[in-house]
Amino acid sequence: MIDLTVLAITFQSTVLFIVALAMLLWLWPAVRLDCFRQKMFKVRDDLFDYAASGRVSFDHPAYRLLRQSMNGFIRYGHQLSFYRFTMTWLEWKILEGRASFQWRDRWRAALGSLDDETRADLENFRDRAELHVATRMIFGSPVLIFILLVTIIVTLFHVGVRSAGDLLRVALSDTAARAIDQSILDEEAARAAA
Amino acid sequence: MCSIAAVLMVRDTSEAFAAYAGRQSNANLLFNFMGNVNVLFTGSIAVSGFSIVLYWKERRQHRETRKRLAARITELELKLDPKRTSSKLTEEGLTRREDE
Repeated sequence: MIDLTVLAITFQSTVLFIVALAMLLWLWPAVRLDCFRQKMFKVRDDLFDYAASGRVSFDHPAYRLLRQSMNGFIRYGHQLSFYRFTMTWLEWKILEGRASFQWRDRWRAALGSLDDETRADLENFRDRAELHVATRMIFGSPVLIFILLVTIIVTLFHVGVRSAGDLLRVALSDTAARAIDQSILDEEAARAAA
Repeated sequence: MCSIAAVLMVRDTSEAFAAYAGRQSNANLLFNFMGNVNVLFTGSIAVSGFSIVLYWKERRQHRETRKRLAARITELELKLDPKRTSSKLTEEGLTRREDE
């Protein structure tokens, strides 16, 4: 016969289980998505302010392409996961055999018509957006979290101790460069925002 | 795995109630049971519940603020960039139903 102590423990476990499940499957993903979108909105707002200051025209193709890409990432941020990326990658590389990237080619052509300083600034905006995308994908995948941890250790041994934020940024970029093809993400984001 | 755990918990609970059936009054059973529930556990659940309610209220406020400001920002930005493109989220900054 089960006594009341066991029953109480079972009750406590059930309640804790339900609370933990709600936090893990419902609250945490919602917060992660909101954070990602807010960070991407911040980059998009900074880009808008940059154009408003007159350093690049609102009609310049580079500005429009960058904004289009950010809009795509914001709109479909909820679908941005390593699993979906892998499926898209397989579709692109194996089933369709695509090798050219329309968005990337247009982006490079658009940058060509800018002076060095503006080009560097716009590439910086793109790097910031890419880092947010990479962070979202990496922290949403146990496989990529493991690769990130290994990369952090390797970076520590190779480069030495630096600030924690800097170390994480370098490790995130390295992990993303190893596991994620940014060209495919850009292409999908631009298509989504079109 | 989650469903197996849930099934086991429900099974244990129902077994316990079945074992006590007809031996004690419901009131006694409830008092004894509540006496066995840990105070620390009760406190933790209360704090967690309160935190979730606070989170919920704060999130609602945040959405209302977004709704209030988004329209103004769009209107102002369109004056500078008439071809301004949008992320196509809802007014509250949420995913549209057709995009889910």
